[in-house]
Amino acid sequence: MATRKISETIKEYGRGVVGGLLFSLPLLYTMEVWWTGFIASPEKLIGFVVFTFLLLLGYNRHAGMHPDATITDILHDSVEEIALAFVVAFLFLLLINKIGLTMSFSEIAGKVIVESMMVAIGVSVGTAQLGQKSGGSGQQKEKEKNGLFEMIVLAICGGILISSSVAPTEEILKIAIISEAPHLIAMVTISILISGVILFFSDFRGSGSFKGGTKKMILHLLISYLCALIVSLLMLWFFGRIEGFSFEVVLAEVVVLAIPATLGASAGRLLIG
Amino acid sequence: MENQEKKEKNNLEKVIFYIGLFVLIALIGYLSYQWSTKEQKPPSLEVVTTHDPSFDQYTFKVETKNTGQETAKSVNISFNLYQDGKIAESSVLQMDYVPVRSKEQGWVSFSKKRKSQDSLTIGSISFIKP
Repeated sequence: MATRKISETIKEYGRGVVGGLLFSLPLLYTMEVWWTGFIASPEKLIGFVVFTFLLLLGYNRHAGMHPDATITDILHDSVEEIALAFVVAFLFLLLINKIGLTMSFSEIAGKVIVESMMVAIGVSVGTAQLGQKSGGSGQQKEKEKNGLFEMIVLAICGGILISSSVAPTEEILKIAIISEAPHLIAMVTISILISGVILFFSDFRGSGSFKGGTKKMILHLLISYLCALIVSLLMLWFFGRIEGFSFEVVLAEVVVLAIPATLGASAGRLLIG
Repeated sequence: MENQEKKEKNNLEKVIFYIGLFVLIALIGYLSYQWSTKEQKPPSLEVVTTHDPSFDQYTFKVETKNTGQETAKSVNISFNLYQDGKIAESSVLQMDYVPVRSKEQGWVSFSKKRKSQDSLTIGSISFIKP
């Protein structure tokens, strides 16, 4: 078997680094994310690392990088993406002076861990999507997405990518606090409508022709929105926006954050799948 | 990817893979160690002040270190400048966060002129749990 050329690898890593920065730059500049690095408990950070790694495995499996990729290839690619993301996050935080020698090791480690996991998702998407002949660029996928699991993985990836830039900010809490029940119901309705328009009614790239009937359409919409709600809840929990708040406030926060998360779960899913 | 034909990994990919593996194992190991040795102690702030002559105004450098087990948020430290046995002036230093085992530096300046027998005392330290 021939060995891959190093020049090809460097190009792929270049796409990965650009993708990582493209999708994660707002987070690298967000102070709430820096703070999460030293506020989040060790068990939360472990869960975050494990969750991100599993997400990378799922995305690399289903994003069509190599149709015949084995589990070893997928593991290998996911670990490489973690390495690239770690280096990018570390160097960037050093560049903007958010880590330095005067800080404690735990503060540096926390900040780099949180940022590098976010960058890793961007690296994975960038590597898969930014190539010249990658399956996601300009080509309509004729075959239907195979299976519920793939749909869920891509919806979660897309939801995280789009909502992660606003999830750590205080604005989500402020909007949730002032939103009454009619506002929240309207937000839920609009989120599902947007998802429907993207997935079925606007010939969005990657949407293909839908042949499932109304019941299947409703199922897809519900799955998309459910993924968005789960992504919202997980992100709010990770950034410390759940503990200490009442059920009503948490529910409102989840609904508010689910708007960008739904956009990501539907449009993002089609763009990065 | 562009080429459907499977190719073996080159040395660069292998090196990056091992770096990534090391990073993952090190991160999980470090976080597990932190988790197992974590104590539920609140933040504990140590404040050290020294006169800083590099400023034109009468200025003190303030170093705040968190020796506790949790991050301190919205830290407020008030200072009283004593001259001739009385409080001549007061000042407050605010910090958004002082993370665990980290040190934050700040400065407080006073309009009064420096006198021999001056002393700077800490009035109060307040913070909240993030």
